[in-house]
Amino acid sequence: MAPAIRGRSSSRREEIRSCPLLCATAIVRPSPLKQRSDCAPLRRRRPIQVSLSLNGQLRILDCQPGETLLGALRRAGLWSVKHGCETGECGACAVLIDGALMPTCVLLAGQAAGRQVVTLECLAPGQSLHPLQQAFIEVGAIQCGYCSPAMILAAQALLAGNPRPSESDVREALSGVLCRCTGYKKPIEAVLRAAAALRGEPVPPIGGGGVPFEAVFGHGRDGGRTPADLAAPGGGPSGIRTRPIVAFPVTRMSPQPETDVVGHREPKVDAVKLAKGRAVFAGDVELPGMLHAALLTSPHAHARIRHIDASRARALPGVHAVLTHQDIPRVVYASGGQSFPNPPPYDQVSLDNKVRYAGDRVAVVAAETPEIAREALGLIDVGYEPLPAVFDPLQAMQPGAPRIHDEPDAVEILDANRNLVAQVHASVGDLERGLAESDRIFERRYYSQQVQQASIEPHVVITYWDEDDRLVVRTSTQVPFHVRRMLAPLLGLPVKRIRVIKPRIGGGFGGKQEMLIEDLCGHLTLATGRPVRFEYTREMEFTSARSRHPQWITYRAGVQADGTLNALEMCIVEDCGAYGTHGLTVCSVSGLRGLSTYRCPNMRLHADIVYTNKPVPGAFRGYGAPQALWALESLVDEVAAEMGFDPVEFRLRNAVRAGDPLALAKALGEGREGFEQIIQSCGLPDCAAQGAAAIGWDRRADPGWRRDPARPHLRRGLGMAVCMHGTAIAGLDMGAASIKMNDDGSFNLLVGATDLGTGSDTVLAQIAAETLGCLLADVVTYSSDTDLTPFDTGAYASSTTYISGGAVMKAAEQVREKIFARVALMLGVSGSAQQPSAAGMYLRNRSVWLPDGRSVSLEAVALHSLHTFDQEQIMATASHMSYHSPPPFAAQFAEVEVDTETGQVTVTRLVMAVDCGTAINPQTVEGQVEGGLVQALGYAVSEEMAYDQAGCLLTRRFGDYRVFQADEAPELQAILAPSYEPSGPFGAKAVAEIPMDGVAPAVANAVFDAVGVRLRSLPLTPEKVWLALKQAAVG
Amino acid sequence: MKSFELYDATTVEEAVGLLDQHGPTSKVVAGGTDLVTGIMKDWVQGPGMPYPDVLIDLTTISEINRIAVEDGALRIGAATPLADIAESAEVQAGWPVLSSAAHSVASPLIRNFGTLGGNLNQRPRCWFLRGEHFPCYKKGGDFCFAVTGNNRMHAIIGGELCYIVHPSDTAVALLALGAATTIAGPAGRREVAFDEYFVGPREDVLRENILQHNEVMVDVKVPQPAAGARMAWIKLKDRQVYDFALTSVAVVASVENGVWQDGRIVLGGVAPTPWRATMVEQALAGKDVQSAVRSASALIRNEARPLSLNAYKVDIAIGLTERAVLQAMAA
Repeated sequence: MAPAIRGRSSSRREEIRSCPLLCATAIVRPSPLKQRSDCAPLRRRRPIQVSLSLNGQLRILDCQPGETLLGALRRAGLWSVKHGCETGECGACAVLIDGALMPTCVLLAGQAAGRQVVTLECLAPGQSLHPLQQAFIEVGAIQCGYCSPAMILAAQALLAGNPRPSESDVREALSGVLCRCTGYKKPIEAVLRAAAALRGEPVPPIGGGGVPFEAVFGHGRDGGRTPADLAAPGGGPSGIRTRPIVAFPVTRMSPQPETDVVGHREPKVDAVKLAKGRAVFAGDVELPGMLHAALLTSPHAHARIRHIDASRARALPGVHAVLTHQDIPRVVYASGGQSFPNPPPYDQVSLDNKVRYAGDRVAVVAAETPEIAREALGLIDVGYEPLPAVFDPLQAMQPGAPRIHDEPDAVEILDANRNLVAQVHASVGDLERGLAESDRIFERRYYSQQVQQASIEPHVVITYWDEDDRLVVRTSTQVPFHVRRMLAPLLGLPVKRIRVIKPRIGGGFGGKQEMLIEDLCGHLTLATGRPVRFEYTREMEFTSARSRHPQWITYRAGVQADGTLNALEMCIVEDCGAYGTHGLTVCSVSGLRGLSTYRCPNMRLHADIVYTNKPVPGAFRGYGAPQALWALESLVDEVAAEMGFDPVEFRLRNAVRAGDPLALAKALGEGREGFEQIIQSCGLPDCAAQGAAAIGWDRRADPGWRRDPARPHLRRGLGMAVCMHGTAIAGLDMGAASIKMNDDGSFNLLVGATDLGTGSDTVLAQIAAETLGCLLADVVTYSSDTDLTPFDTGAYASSTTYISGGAVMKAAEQVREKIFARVALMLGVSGSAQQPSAAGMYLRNRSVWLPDGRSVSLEAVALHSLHTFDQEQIMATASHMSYHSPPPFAAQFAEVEVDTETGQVTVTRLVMAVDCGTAINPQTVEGQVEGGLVQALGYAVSEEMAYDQAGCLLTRRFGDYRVFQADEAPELQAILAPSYEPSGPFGAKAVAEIPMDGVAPAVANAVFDAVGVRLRSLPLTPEKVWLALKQAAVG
Repeated sequence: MKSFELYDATTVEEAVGLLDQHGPTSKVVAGGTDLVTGIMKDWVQGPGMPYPDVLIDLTTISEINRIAVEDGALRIGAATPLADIAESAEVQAGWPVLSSAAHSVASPLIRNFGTLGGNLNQRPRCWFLRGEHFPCYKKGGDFCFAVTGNNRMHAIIGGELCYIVHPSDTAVALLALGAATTIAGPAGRREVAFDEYFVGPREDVLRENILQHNEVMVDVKVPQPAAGARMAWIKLKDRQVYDFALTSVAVVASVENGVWQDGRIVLGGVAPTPWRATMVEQALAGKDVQSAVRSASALIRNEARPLSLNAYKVDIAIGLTERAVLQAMAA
């Protein structure tokens, strides 16, 4: 039953209402009795004053009657209260009201009168940390940190009434707060850990920086790490069902020198400010005179705008600008945040005289309040001429289909008459001959649906002129440097007059690898001269942001009787939506991923990328691989089952291994030719073995395990998939870093790399600290400000650790050389100033050590170089790119229960064993894996963007879209089975995207194992499973 | 959201007076989970569904925020949060089907301020009704978009003109428990059994219950169950939690020696109102439940008129009914 997490009592509320202080000063809302005499003509927007206890202090908030408590609290400077939706379903805005957790986005401000409202700001004063905050930091429960304030308050409400909660109590208590990053495992662990600490019980140490407060602010100490911590990279409280397993090192291919910072579970460098709910996100600022933007979107899937008249909207008091296609220059562009030149086509303009999907841009307003801006949208008169629309890519390619892009200025559309964005062809060997020579041929077709990134922080941008008349763009983006370059022509400003700042980001998952709304916000600042805030609503996130490309994939496989794969053909039809952004490159990745995992001498790819009148897909974690591997790993499972091979053995027999080339890597680059790839590290067999052991793969042979006597309608099953991903875009991605040394021997690390919650700032700082022989706390990281940090392509393609990490390592090595040279100068080591490394110096424990045992502290080096003699700033900037894209490998396993009467699939366990090379920070790697598994599970079983016949999106809120929450997330297990990648920093490869790749086929294969039906269409809803069972019974 | 006037009511009569005075564009609000976030933020409106411009807050009325047991019967104020009902030891002990239903609504956050009255009287979740661009029957339009559109969540029984399913979980449990509600209006208070409370599209497509615009639900009265009554609650969702029911079943029954004496079986998620499966009840009457339940549940098929995409719900309704009855036997 539900735990007692409410503390609300009417008596407390009565207390505050009758509090004499309150009565003396409060202006209570207009009482109905008073109102009756004068309310005959309703006066709109009559302000009200709401008196309440806010974090223990009596406050009076001036509000509009229609204003939510969320808006009122944020206006009052309580920035820990976050906007994630407008329907109370994500919980990011939750606060404690009379002790109970409630979402403030659905409460009217007026309804809070007389109540006690508590936000995260008052949990722990000043720089101190509450045990909950400390536990969240220590176990790595904070990734992007956007939902952390609400999670911590939910935990606080739980522990106030239940100091000894069970894991399921915690899951239930957190279940109203959606998290898209963590998979909930570490937050649950954190709450249990904090509960133990609050009960006065000892909590096990976690390897890494020890007490975070001291690790961050302490000076002159060793960071609190004990030898025991160093010896045990594992950790986490024992006895928790979701305890991580870290297996170190299993398949290292070359000896790794002992490391002090790299490979340790360091708490994230940005965790404290996130745990405290500080104003660190893009939207957490209020500027004088700031206006609010609202976007008018199309109700039609396809229509020409015959006339548009904004005069009534412009006349509305409080409106400062209304922009339509008549008001801004027409500049074609491609909105994907990709390297120059952006892959084709260039088929968008900021505002057009035609709309191509329901949700497409029509006009944008800037007004003094969000409410006025929204009201103004209703006053814009638009004359639409509806055009025939097409939603099925196969129909869209037929002659006579509506032509979606008939504008003459679109560039590089392959065949606009057939709505063909592009085609991709690639081949190796002779497919037809290979098929002809095969003993068995299998042909199967698979469908993967349109799903949404659904980061809890919506797209939000603030633009303003700075004192030098340069446009500052403070935005929630994964690609600040691309945004700056792409924005310049649209706004008619040179790049040098634009500064893009990326603060903390509340999750992106690819949805923010896009220049989505920065152009319109910039235009509004250009038009008004005022700061403008433009924040998407959750509904607009669904209708007018980006998503994953749906694909229909047909495979033909030729297999020899001994189980050798001889021929493989992949045909893709990709639904690209109304604009081509990312369409070509996502599909190229699908082809590469779909034809790389297995050795096969004869392969062919054909892909059609097709426009439809649907909301636009773009980049989404996995980027084509989840579609391809859904099909491939289902196909391989079908082949193995039909030919009588064990699914794991069959896969490993055919899988690529170290030394193999990737046959199609050269043909399938980023919208251009790629580079030859040879696999240099591969831990796949080890991943499969460890994953199989962890899930209990042997139970497949036990008929008794499959049934539950108490629940006769259930059948259990196990399924798996293997995955191979890439690490960065070979020969294209580049990152850069600057490091400078400060008086106390600490360093500033400036990186263009974009931490969107993944922990890349931490990982990059660990690489710097390891190379420079200092503590992680000695590296002050600042990321992603186009004025202050060097260039980086951005956070996508699983590139940051590998590419940006390589840059940090290079910069740190250069700084190290300068430090050695300085030491040589200080100590008069003869002949070594030119080649200091040759003198045998090394850096460790904040000192430079000489072979003879002497040492000089970094602080002494810094003071000498900055102040004493032959003064210089010890610093270096380096950049890094790579012609390699070393693949990480993984094996993913799912355990399911299938209800044979209702078709409901319940995934009870997910296990992922991953070879990501060296895990620079095992804790953040686990976080990536766990969060990715649950996000991928939504793709597998519950998430889908659904439309009506006119192309109008029906799933416009979290309630309809169905993101997993804490009490329904399965048990998760992340196993690190690292290899050593010679081309990566400290042997590292990528890990960010690969968790998305194999869950859907693993679950579908487990359903087959349980009930013997094959599902080839995602998501695996009860209805589809039920139907398949029904057909199997009839057939 | 358009702007509006907000009133505090301190008594039910005051709220009724304000409603009466301001007419159909005035609405009462408690948790606001449906009215504020669903209807008003999404600007769901039409000739048959005017946009509210006056809201009257009921959470300030202490009379209707309480749970009490009087003479064995349970009385719950309409503004009582669902979390209080789900956690009440008295409700769990005497009316477990109601506490289970209350607990199965949405998330803990929403149960903390979503109220019983709100759950019973919320508007349907049909995505066409909720979409700004669909002028359907319920909004005073002349079309049901579910007939030709994506109707996998829609009604399989009792649809006519409009194919919404009733969204409330607690309504299903309360109907199975034979509960009644007190309604306050300008002429005073009256008690109405839930048997008479819900309104299907055949009767009036613009409403889901008999509550008039100037009336307020005061409380819900649940009779003491018969001694030894058995109860069960099952709710199937697309996902495991946080969702409206694809299909739910509440069973409250008296059984002696395995033989069905008397009882109610009510299904949610299948019809525009909570739907009492009287034909199943009748087929079980006087029969050995274990042997009769399968064929009795299958009678639902005769009542079902599924749309293009929701035929699967018929079998699910039959299967869950059987399972719920057996679960009640085991309780």
